[in-house]
Amino acid sequence: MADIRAIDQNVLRKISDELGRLNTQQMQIGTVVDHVQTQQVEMDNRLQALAARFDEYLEADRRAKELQLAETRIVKVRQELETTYGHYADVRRRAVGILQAIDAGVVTHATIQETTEDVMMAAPRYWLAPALVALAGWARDDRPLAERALAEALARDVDKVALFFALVLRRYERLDSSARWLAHFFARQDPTALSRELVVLLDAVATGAFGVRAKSLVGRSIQEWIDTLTAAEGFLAEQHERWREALVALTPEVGGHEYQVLAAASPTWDALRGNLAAVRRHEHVLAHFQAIFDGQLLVPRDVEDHIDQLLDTLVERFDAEELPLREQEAELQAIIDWSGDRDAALQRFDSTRQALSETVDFMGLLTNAAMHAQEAGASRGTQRLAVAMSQPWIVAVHDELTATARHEAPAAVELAIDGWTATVEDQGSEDALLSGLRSHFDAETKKAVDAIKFTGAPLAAAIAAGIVGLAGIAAPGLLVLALAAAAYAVYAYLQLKPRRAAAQQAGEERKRNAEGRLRAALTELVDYRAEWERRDRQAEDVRSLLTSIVADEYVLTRDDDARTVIA
Amino acid sequence: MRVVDRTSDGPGHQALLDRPRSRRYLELAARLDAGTAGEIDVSALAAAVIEAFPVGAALPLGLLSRCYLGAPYEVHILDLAGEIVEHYAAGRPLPAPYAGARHLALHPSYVAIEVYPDRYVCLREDGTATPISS
Repeated sequence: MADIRAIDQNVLRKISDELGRLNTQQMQIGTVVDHVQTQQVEMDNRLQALAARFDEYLEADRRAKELQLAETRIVKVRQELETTYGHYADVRRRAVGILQAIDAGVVTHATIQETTEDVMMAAPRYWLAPALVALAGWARDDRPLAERALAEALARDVDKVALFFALVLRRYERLDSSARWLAHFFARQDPTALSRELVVLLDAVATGAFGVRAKSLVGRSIQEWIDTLTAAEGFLAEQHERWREALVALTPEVGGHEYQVLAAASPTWDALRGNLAAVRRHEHVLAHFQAIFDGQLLVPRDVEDHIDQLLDTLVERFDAEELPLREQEAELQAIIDWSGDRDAALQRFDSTRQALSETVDFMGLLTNAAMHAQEAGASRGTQRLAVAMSQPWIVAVHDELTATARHEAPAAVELAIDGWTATVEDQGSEDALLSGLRSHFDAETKKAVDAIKFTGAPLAAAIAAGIVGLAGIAAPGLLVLALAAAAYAVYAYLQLKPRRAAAQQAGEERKRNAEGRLRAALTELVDYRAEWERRDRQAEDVRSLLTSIVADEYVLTRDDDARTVIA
Repeated sequence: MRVVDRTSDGPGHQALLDRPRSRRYLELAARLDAGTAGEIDVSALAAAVIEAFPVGAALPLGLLSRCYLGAPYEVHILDLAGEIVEHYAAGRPLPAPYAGARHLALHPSYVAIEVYPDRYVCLREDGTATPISS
């Protein structure tokens, strides 16, 4: 038996030693694995760094190639521009010179004629060349030449020639002729895709810079635009939405410090606040339109400058046929400016091109002019014109916003104060609410006071005292315990009265607080309703102002026959 | 004429909702007070009101307007389908969908409210009609 135990112990020791070695080996393997893992992480990091550097290298290489390519191509594009349209630039330079020469009267007619004819030979397809010949012919009363040159210019680009002569003739105060050209120009425009610069012309016409005749002629074109646009499907809804957005944008915020008690006491506050903001908007709408129509309308001096700028732009701007090459040039230049970063360059180039070629429909142009005059570059005169022309839609949208605000005004205001809830109708009586609130809190207080009873631990202590006391007869040692329980029960019983009094007092305090908050909330509600009524009445002032804007002094032609009256 | 035949509410009808109402129509709407309190038969009047709507225009379920009979009456409904006028005293609830238009009908800016299944059209004295979602 002893042998067996000895063998067993030997074997066990051996096993234990082996296990110890195994453990040591496992730890060594673990260390190796950790080491390998660390090396792998380091390797990963190095590989990532290498990949990043490789990407950087590729990107730099790509950019360098793009840059090189752009630099080579831009030279070619410029050469092509120079070869094909180089003389256009010459014509443009001379056009400015000729206009200045005619202005100053310091160059002889012969020289001007020679220059213009020279230009004509140099730029065979360019509209500006024959236009300049016509201008020079007109300046020296050579009617046949002027007419022939004009016919040629018109054959090349009617729109630009019409605008050119409208602007040039206005410059020399030939208002009637200028008006005819202008009318021609307006008649040819597409009301769904107008250049943003048109607002400058419209401004000039509206402020009378082109004379009375231009006003009525252009007015006719504009009336046709409105008729065309109005007839298009979905136009009315779009126009309605446009003006709704414009007026809603004038809605003010209701400050967090306003009607604070009501806000805290009423779950309806969000609706009340939204509705108050909606009726407060009337004041802002009124102020906006009053500012447009207040005061005397003077032709601003800068309108004249703007017209001259327009002439400069028209003369100096690249022609449509040059545009593809010019765009290529600008695109390549952008790539060069961005050091070969083609994506960034194209992104920027696209936004510039979009801004330049952006067109707007006539009604959008009017809305911009009426609501954001400064950004749209519209004067007070254009603003008046734009408002007068959009008047039926503005009134309709204002009416709708007003009616919606009236409809959505919460008729019943909910109140929730410290667990008490009630709904205040229009003719809600403060006394009734106060009495309801008092009843609620009185009931709450009563419940709280009634809940303070001789129950729970004190009652258990009393019962325990009785039982243990009886047992104490047999075992006097327990009497001490019975006395302690009895003392606790008596103490708890004596505390009932002051606790009830405290609960009563706390209940009264809660009621007083709630009463105060209710009174304050109702006072604020009265103020709120008074303000609402006052603000709501301003909707009618806005309406009166807007409906009064039908005078011909604002509108080029009347637009009051668009709607038919039933029966 | 069956009223229900013309109360359909397609997109074509919507466009006609905001057309200005004629003076004659507004006068007809105002004559609702001519009766006495309670439900009265106004089939001739209802027919005349319906006639005032052009072909293709959606017909309202009825008209809700301020009542001038005096207290306790506050508003009345001209039910075009039932061809009756019913006067409602203050505090007496209106049936749906008229209930939501009570405040609008009492607003001094509007002479009457046309009530459609999904919208109200507020009518001003000058004939302006403003449709809003109910």
